[in-house]
Amino acid sequence: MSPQNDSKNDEVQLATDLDEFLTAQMNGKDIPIPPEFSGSDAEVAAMLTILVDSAKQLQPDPIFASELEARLLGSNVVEASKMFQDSEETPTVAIEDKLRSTQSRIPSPNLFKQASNMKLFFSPLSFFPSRPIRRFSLAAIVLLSVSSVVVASTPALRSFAQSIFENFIRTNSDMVGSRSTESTGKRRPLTEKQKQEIEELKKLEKQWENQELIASTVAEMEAKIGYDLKEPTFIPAGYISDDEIGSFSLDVVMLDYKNHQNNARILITQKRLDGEKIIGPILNTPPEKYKSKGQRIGLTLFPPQPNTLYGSKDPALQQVDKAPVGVSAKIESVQIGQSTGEYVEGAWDSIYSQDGSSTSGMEWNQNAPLRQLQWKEGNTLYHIASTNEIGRDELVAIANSMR
Amino acid sequence: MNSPQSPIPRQRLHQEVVKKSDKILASEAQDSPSAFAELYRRHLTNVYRYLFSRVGNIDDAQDLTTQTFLAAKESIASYEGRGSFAAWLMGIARRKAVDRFRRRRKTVPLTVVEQLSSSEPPMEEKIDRQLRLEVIAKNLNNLTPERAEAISLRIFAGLSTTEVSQVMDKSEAAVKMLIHRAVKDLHQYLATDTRKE
Repeated sequence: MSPQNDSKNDEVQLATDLDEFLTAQMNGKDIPIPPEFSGSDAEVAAMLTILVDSAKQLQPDPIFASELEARLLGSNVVEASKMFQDSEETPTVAIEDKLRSTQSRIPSPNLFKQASNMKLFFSPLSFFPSRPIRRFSLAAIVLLSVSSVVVASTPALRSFAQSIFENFIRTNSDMVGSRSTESTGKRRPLTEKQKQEIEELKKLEKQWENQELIASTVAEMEAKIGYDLKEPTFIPAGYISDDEIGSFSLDVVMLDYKNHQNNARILITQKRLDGEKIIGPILNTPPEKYKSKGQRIGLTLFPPQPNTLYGSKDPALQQVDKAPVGVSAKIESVQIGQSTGEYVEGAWDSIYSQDGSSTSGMEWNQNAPLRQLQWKEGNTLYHIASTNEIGRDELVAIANSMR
Repeated sequence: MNSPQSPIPRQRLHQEVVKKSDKILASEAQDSPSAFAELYRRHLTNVYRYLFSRVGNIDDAQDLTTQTFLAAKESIASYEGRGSFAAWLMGIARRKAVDRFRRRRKTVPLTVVEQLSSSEPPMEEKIDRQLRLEVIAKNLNNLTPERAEAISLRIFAGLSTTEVSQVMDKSEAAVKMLIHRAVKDLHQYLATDTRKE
């Protein structure tokens, strides 16, 4: 064999050795430079390590990645838009309008026991960046008027309505609670029952705190709650995930995405329907004290027994598997994967007592700058709420990207 | 092929989707946007890295990445499962990069600061990384086209030697040789740069 051939064979061998070294490097194996590499060969191998390291540092911008994914998933978004492009009102809305006019005339025998009211106001701004459970401080629990109620509704008709609307349920009126003209500056002393319920709330809050349902990643939260959660693979540009994931209870978890430029927000709630009974999420415009801090969106959740919201007897506020919206809310059907979801614009405005120190009710505001989308998969209710920077198609795209 | 972590702000997927091979997902992707989305998530980073190494700037790399995936979605039916999906996809990316080179021979200066990890390393480290990437990308442009292509496909696109040989239509031994020579050349160029300084 000629010296030239020897040299060629050496190079082939070196190239093969280098390839093996490269494969190990790329698979993350921290192996030393092979001893057979000497002098300039060892330097070439070191060069290869630098190249592999440099390649690993290159990452596409997450916003670019999300936008491209949304574009690639675009067909789903178009499908959702197409559904209503010819008509402002969906057929479902028209049916529900007829149903509503009939429903209001029919009394029902359902009896709800007398109870005080509890409202747990979700204020993501103050809640999520710190410890989520703190959001349920007693300061945020508003004790309202007490009333004895008899609820009117025909079970058969309610069942019919539920079969039409899988996710949202309309209240009987756009007004829940009352427009109190009484100043709460001079509050009546609490009754024994009310005191007892406050103690129960304190205990409940303590339980939630003890559960420490706070996590920095979804995987960590899953380990705490013991079941799988979904996450969106698409979030519109400019929104970032909060560092902490909050949980209302073992059965309700919220993911929070915020645009720090304009305080726009996306809140994704996942509620297990076979777990603890919890009403909501109810989408609110925030009370003034939160608005002044830049807060633009609020969600209300509460356990239905023994509490009611603002003393209301409305059956929609006792329904665990549907989020309540006002009677005048326009509900549009949208396709979310294999499920039919529903989209609603507007939210509940809080009604304040005369001195503004407490809330006495809530009123549906069709023009509130908030929107929500809801659908069910198996035993889980998914709810996405956002400020109005996010359009319906974007909400649908987020929903379709949940994995 | 390596599977780098997706940059998308969620990292867990349906188990049943994750378990599926690229080939099965590719066959389902004709009718299922979610199957294509999963393929996209698996391969986005490597496609982007490859294109960045070829064009040397973020804007073009993003543009070509977009073109690559849109073209892949359009022509997914033409992938018949022969060879790896990664190699098929990189073939598309390669053609997109070549088209770009034909239209615009010169590359623009690198702007890699924004490319770096969001974990905010110290400024000295950032500068060091940036300089290193700039130098590497500059010297990749000095290699012969085949050597540059081989190294980009193997290291930046994360393809195996077999996959690179499919994309470049060369034997595996030839690919190994191209890479060996490319790295040697790069080493030499860098040594020269250092001496100049």
